[in-house]
Amino acid sequence: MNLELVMSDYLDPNNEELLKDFFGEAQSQVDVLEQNVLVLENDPTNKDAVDEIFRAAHTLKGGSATVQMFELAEFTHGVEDTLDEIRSGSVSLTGPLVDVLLQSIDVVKAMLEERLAGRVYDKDVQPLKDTLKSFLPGAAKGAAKASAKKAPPKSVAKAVSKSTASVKGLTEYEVLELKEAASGRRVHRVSVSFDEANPMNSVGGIQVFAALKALGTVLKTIPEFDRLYEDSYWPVVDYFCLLDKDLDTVTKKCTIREVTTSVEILEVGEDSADTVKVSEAPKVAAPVPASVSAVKSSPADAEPEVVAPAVEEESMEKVLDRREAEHKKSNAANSGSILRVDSKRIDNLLNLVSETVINKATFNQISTHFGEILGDLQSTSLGYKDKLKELFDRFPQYVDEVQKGKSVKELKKEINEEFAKLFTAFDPVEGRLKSTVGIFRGTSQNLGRIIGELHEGVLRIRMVPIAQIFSRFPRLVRDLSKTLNKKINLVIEGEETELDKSVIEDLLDPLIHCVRNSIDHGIESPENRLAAGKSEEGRVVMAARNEGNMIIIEIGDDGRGIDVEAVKKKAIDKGLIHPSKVLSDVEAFNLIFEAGFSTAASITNISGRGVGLDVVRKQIEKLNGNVSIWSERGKGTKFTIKLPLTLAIIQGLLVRVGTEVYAIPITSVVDSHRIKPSEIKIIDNYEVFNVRKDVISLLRLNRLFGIPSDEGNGYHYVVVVGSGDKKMGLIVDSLIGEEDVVIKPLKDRYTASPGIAGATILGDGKVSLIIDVSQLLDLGMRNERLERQRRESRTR
Amino acid sequence: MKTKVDFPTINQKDPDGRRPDGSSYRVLVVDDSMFVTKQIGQILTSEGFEVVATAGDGEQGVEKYKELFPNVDLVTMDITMPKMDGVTALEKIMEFDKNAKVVMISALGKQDLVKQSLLLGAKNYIVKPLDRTKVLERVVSSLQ
Repeated sequence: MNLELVMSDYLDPNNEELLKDFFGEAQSQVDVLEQNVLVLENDPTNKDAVDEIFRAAHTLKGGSATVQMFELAEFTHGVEDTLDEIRSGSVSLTGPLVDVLLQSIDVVKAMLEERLAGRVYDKDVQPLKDTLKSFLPGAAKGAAKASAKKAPPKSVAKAVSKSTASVKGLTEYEVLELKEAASGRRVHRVSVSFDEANPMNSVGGIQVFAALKALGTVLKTIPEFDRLYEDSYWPVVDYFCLLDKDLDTVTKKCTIREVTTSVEILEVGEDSADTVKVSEAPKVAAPVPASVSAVKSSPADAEPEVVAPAVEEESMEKVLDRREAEHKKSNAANSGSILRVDSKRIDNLLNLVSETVINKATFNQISTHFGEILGDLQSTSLGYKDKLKELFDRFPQYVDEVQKGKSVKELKKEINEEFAKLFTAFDPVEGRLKSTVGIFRGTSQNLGRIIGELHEGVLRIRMVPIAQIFSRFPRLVRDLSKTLNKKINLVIEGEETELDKSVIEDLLDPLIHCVRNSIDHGIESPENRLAAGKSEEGRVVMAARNEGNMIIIEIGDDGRGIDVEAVKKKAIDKGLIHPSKVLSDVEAFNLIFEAGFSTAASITNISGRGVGLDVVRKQIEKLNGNVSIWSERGKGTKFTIKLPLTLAIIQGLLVRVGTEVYAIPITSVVDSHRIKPSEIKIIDNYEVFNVRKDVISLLRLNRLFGIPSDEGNGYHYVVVVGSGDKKMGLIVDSLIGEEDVVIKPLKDRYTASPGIAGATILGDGKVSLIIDVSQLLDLGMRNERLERQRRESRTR
Repeated sequence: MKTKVDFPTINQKDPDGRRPDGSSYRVLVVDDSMFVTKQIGQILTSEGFEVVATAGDGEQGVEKYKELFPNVDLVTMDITMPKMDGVTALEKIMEFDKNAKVVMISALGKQDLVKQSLLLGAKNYIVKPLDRTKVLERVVSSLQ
């Protein structure tokens, strides 16, 4: 089925926006469902969680029906029924029920995925529905009871007898009673028939009642008001009322489209014409139970709990595959998705923008001021020049006068009187210029502040709480711990920490790897834990926090820790390190991030997926972050991921090589040194130098990038960069300083430039390239290894 | 415009959302689902109504109503919402303004709550799934 074909009238293909909203919202409802089911599993008495779940399912159902995704609406309806029972307390939440609920949520997810891809979910959900139903009370005792619950036979019987009585109209006593209540006014019988096809056909009676109440006084209804209030459908209801309005108005008010089919108003008279009227049409039979309960009473299934154990048997691989596939799909779905932003943040931006507008006005003013001052300056300088010329012109005259015997003193006085103005000619202009420059400085400072805030504000728009991905973990951990038979308590901290949206999206994979690693390899089985004197339940902590303009994410467990010796042995086996190499613990820990060092395959021999942690490191480094690991034998392991707040802007160390300026991401800079050429030593044809106890190989950026520069003179500057255990010194001509650099991607044929991560534009408008440290390290390492292999093969 | 002279207009009907004087009826939409809010908004604005405000839960809805009053003509009120449900919100609004026109938005299976709302003074109700004709018809009838 084509999605467009099934859309209702207002949901035309152009209304994709609405559909997008639906999907967005459905996704969050599903998240709410999942989270709260997990909450309930740990705390079955949590009333809020039940309400939340119910509301989410309910909203989902309503939404999906609107966009005509009926398979989804129907299925969620089934889920809602079960949830309703949980809410009312008649069904308690048990382990198997949680499993089935989670499974149902998965089906809902799958349905949404299919719809998003323009298809309709076509797998059979009946078994699952039946399983769901088997949890409903009374399911075991058969269908009869289920239907009985909604429309108890007793009340049906009573209703029948009562309504047959009313068919014959009012008893004399009742008529009398009415007349008395009317106290002389005329009593009307408003007889309304209702449309059974209305989805809420049991509401009409009350709706008309409410309408009539506004038009007069309702004395009596047949069936009685209490009965109308019950959840059953009445084809015809008679209202006996005192009407304040004319009959036409009343008829109009009582005619409700899709609810009522006909309205008849008669005056209740002595001859009881109405009695005749009703008796010739005995429409009022037994109340028809509302259609909903009829659906519910369909036969209960014969095979409950078939699905639940299946979950348990599912192998870990399957769980993981499913998780991963699901996640990949959702990733695809998320790309280009909608970002919801707190309106306050937008208001803030708007405010800032208006400030810049004011600022611009100030600049305009300043510009006019400058123009005026320039004019003044020009005219002043003209006057000045004239006066000066006059002075020069006068000289011969003065000389004459002196020769004629005029005293110098007198002459001086004369000149002073005439030309003293020359000294102060520029003072007013200078004064004005000074004040304008002052304003200019202030305004430009202001602009700087506003732009800074604006920048921050725009970045904040893209910030989303990390809870968005953390929230997926309870389910993942639950599934994993079930399949692995480990007891795990997941603690999540700092989920309100905010991160750039693009970072968040790429962060999920690495985090899943880490958590999976912790659970699979870190946490021991309950028996082993008890034997080691730990509590049976393993603890995995996921924590996020801000540190400066970095985000720190930690994933820790209290498991067995990393066996350093095993790692070393493995690394030597794999040829990653030389057998003679002395490894510190930290270096050994970091080895597990190497490509080809899949932890699962060897150290613990637990069958797993063998997803290398190298993927984690690659991903994190792609995000300009780094990941480190700490572990203590028997105490646990902790991954620490450091990430920049945003991808768009990094702190860079600007360095100069020849005439070029390069930016090195500050996160990968370890330290920098000024060394004499004599400190550079040669080992294996490589230039190295000593930093404290370490020997660090050097790479001359000018040679690497082919930039002519003078290598001979005096001191060298070395920037030691590193990620994880790898370090390398980059030789540059000079250090310029630290600056925020905005990363611009390289386009077209420059994309594949090794060692370059991007470009940025400096304050003076020059373009500077940003160095990709991890690529440089790889480059250096690879060269080194190749060189070594070549030498070894030569010596043999 | 010239065309008006040349061709008789076929659609003589005025948009439902305008008063005879041409001003829009002002609607407050209370619903916890942004999707539904938007949907109602689209349907109503297409007929000339003006959605003056939206609220995500009952509490907010009541607050908004009090804030807007008397510059609001109609409220659409979802029944199931966090914090304060629609029925309670309706009650609060009716307490504040006994002439308030509130249309309840309900999902199937909430008959009892719908009845309760109608007795509390709701002018009408709309059962989800919503569609254009249904929404317009109920809203317009409630305004009359």
